[in-house]
Amino acid sequence: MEADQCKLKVDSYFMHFTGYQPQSSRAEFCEDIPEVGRTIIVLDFVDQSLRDIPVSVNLARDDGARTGDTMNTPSSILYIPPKKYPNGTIKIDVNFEQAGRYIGMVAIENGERNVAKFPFDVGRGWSLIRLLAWCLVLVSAAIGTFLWALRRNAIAQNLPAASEK
Amino acid sequence: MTSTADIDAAASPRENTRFKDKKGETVISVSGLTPGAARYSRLFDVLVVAAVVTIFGGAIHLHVMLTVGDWDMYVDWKDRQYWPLVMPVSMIMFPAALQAIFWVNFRLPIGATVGATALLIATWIGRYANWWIWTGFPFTEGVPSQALAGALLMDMTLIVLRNSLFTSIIGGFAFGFVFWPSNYSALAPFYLPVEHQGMVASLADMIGYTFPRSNMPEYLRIIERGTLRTFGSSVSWVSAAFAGFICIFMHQLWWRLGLFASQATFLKNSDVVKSFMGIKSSVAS
Amino acid sequence: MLLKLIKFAAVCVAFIAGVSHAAAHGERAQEPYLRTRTVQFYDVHFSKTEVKVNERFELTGKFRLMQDWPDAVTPPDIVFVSSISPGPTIARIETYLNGWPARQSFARLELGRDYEFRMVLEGRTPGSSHIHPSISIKGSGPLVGPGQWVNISGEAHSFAFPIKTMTGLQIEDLQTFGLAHAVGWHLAWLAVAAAWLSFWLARPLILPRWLVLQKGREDLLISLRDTGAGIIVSAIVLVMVFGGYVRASAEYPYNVPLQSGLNRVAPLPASPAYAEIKVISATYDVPGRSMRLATQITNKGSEPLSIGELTTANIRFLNQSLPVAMANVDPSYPRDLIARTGLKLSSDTPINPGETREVRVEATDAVWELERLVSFLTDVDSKFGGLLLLYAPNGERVIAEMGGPIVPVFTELK
Repeated sequence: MEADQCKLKVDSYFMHFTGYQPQSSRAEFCEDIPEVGRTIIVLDFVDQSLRDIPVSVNLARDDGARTGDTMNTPSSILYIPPKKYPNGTIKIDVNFEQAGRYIGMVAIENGERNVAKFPFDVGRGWSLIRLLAWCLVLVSAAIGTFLWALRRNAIAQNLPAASEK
Repeated sequence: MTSTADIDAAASPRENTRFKDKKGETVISVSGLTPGAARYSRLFDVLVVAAVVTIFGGAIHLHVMLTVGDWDMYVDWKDRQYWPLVMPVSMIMFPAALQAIFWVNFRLPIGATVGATALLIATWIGRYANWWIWTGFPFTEGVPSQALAGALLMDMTLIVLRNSLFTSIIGGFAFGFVFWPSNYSALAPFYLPVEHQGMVASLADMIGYTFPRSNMPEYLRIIERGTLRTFGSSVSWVSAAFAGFICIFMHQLWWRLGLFASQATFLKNSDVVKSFMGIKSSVAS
Repeated sequence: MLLKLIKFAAVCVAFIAGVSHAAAHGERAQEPYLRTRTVQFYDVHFSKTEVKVNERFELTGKFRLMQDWPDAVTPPDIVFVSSISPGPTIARIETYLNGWPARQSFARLELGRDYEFRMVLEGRTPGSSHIHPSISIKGSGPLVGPGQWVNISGEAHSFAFPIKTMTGLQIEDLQTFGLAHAVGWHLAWLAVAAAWLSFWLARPLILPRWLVLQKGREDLLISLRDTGAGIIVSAIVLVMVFGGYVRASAEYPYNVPLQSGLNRVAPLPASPAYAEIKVISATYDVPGRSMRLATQITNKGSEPLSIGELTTANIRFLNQSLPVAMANVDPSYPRDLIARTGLKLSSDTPINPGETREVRVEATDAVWELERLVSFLTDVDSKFGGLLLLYAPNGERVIAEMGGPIVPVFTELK
């Protein structure tokens, strides 16, 4: 868990981020969410000390405005005020109605407020099928080019031979 | 026309005095190399030696690690039955191949020695860098085996008998057989008995136990399993003899593999590839 | 040049230091069914967590081999009791299983029974080491107990391991004994090899010899002198080999072979099965990080029993309203394996003798996820296991096994 990619750092503490979309798949998501709709985001505290510190969460649409350290911004779609989580886990049940870029903000009130931001996309996922389709297109293009070059070469070679005859 | 004497003078001064035979010929003079070419060929020798020692040191060390690595690596794996058997069978492979290449192409009876030396040097570098600096294991836990005694005998057999078949039978057998006595001399102190928790143990067992390897539970060691128990304490000599026997065939096989792998073959370019490269194919076909 | 060397050394040290920091929690890579249904460690105690180099400390505890052993795991027919550490940062002095010496492996441990281990360890390499007790099973690998950070202070070079052999030889340090002897022999062999190789490498080597060989002048390449040199070297080698062997045999006449063989030990006396637990349903709320069990507990003893603790894969969920359960927590037990909010029970009153009660148990904590115990979605055998510890009013503890199929869910049960 210490060396995984799906973690965010607030002050000197680490949290692990996992996204679930149970209605579409059993997969766990890290960073980007493939589809719009109901999503469950879970933040697990890697550091034990976080359980004694009030934590707040804000999910907002990324409208380009520089929000600084302010939580509960106008473009916010979900805001959870500061609260302690002795179980070490925050479960966020949210419905993403629109695709696009969002920003997650996690703030801890540890004497002073420390905010971590993590941007993520919703509904712009690369599914396996789409990836395979693109691979097929590329490979077909490569084969086609090769065959065309071969044909052109064969025609070019025929000409001197034809003239010799 | 340059005379033999001139060539001799231009080549290494040592050539003049030491390696001239009765007719006044030397290898350089008979080879037909000009003085400049002779100098470059000497540079080539140096580069080849450096490359061979580095590459084969790494390759043979990797090979031995992958095949019989546990026995080579740990002092508490060096038992009386399997260690004298499996180690020479693995360690003979590359030296035999190198022997073939050096002898058949250059009449150099040094292939096995080069292989065994490169292996020993690479092994000790590994012990120092990986097992001491990186993980802090004491050197006594990882004392390696050496194959130099057998390799030297293999090369001597080759230069005396000058026949690959007899080198396999005599030299190959010697390689397998002398592994046990030549390494026992070096490692004998590690089999002194100690009492630990009311049970007898050798120092080698104690070293392996005291400095723990978490990935290596004790039951992984293959200590005298099998039916050689009727030979009692002479089990090592039986293993050594059997190792010698297997090494005869290993030597022949790898001699041939070495020759096969050192051929230079040329592939003709096909016309399609040539036309892609813009090379006009030859007119007559 | 010196500055470059210092910089290089600093980078190496930083790299190594960084790597050693991550040298913990490898057991999280093991499958959940392996860790929850095979070995359950309990009563694990570290006598010290701050030691100096050459200072000893003890690691004691017990483990239960679960009755519902998974099919995919080899039964404990050959077992080795050991400590897990990042290499030899600690030295092993003595180990015991149920009082028997445990330097060698054990045969046929029994399922459903308990064993007690004791390990005497010594600090060797300064730094923080994550130390676990473990048992390794042939065919399956290590099954690891709770790990605790042990801080070792002092100088690495001051570690020594003296030992006396049965022949009366006092060895100052097992780390270096016999090394000079072995290295001396290796250097001797390298000297002979170097002599033979120099004999040939001094002459023109590759191209000239190849050209001469093509012309058929073998006589120039291998002369009588060369063959003679070969015979002399053979003689030297044979004298070194057999002379050396004879000398070594004479110098060490009482050598013993490597010792191997399996010990056998009886398990701890079985305590009467005062509690029987049937898991009616088990679910794991994936995003809620919560294991919810519907159980049926039967008290077959003569004293009322209260549920004190649920433990599996070294994680402990305690009934925080039961003082005797809280008192059972050893101060040296790693705190990151004890769930903060503990166990939630639908019924907190003691279960009377002869009574069968349905109790809903809820264990919620991020530790399920941090310990990677909940990949039930990808497990080949979606069952879980664990121990339930119950306490009688007189403080007597009853250990009961429980387990069964578990289903991952994404919604909260009402």
